[in-house]
Amino acid sequence: MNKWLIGILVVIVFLGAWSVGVYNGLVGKDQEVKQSWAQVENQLQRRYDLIPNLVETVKGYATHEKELFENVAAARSAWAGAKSSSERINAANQVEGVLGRLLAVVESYPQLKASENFRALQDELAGTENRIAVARMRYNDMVQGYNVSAKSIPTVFVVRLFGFDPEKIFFAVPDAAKEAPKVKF
Amino acid sequence: MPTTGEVSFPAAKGFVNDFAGVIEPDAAKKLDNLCAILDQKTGVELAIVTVKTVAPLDSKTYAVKLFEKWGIGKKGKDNGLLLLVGVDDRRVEIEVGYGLEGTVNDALAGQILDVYVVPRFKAGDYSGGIYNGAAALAQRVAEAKNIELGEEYQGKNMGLEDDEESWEEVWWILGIIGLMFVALAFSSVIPGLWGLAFGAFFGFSLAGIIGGVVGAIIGFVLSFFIKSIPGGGSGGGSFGGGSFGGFGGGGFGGFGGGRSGGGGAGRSW
Repeated sequence: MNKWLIGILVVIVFLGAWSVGVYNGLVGKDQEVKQSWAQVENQLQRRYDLIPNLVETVKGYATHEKELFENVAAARSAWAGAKSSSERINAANQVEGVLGRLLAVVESYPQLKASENFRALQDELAGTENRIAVARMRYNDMVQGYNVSAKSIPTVFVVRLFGFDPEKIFFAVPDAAKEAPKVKF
Repeated sequence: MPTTGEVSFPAAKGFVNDFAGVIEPDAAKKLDNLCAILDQKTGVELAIVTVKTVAPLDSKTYAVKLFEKWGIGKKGKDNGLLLLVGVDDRRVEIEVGYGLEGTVNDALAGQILDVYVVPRFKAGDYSGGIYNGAAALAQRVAEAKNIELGEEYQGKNMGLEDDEESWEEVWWILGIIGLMFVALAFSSVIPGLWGLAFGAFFGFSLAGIIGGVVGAIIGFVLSFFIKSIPGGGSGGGSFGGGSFGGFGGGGFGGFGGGRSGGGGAGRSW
């Protein structure tokens, strides 16, 4: 009788210690995903802030692209209105698409391309796109790590028990936007 | 930008890593000195890397991953810079650590490439382009921190063909050779030691030759008053004239664990 009790106690203590470890591990991974998402948002915000400047510069030379500027403005406000992560990802991809078109249009305005102001802006934009790509890559790596452990066998019970996100969403890039906006020199 | 793909990166050999073998030896030495001084005076770690190709990655991704792997810059400060040249790709990147994004913004990085690097690369002058680009970066960092890197690094377009500087080097070499001769000729410990002491003392302020010669003469004169002990003075003499006058130490001890996030600029040529 006593033996059984001790045995059960040992198992309970063992299980408790184990789930504390798993729990803490998940909390850490969850935190990493959130941090890397914050970095993605930072960089997306940076791109968002660059747009008015870019549009102003392009407008000075490319006066006939009214529709395009309207699309840029629309995408920009869609980003501003997006709240959840998945909304933000969609809006960011939309912005990326119109920026790509904007930069394609620039190709037909050699004077604009040659202007020093635009060159500097182009560098900033290229740098921003690179930063977004890096932040996105690191975020996706973290999501990958979280999802793998959240779905594997013992951990998944702790996930259910404590109400962790069963999986995190990847920042997927739509195929159309994958190429754009490519700022090449 | 392809996101993944396991690529093996070479290990860092120093500040200057000429894996493509395009930097001339004296330029490599000057670059190394520049990076060492920059590190010593500002704590900023500037890594110079040339590779044949960055394939299968694209150049920016390669720069980001190499930066991450090497940890260029000090941990916590993230104050690293990477100048990456893909020779066969004809592509050059400046990757900026998080902590320097304000100092070297993307537009400035692009400008440095446009003005100092790409024109030289187009002319096939890798050493000159890399050196001038690195010097411009170092200069910018020093300016931002209000620190002087030293006379030989002033002016962004200081070339490898700087006359005064090479003359100074000639004087140094002459001084060392002269000292060795003097020390060899008297071949005694005490003149050598005096040469060492005076050479070291004067070597910091004047050209080494003066210190060396003065030291050797005094050593020679003194050796008439003090009974000389024969044997091995040459080492001491040459040491006093030469090594002390060189650049102030600060060798490469590995990068500090800094991080970057895609800032900087790139150009094809």
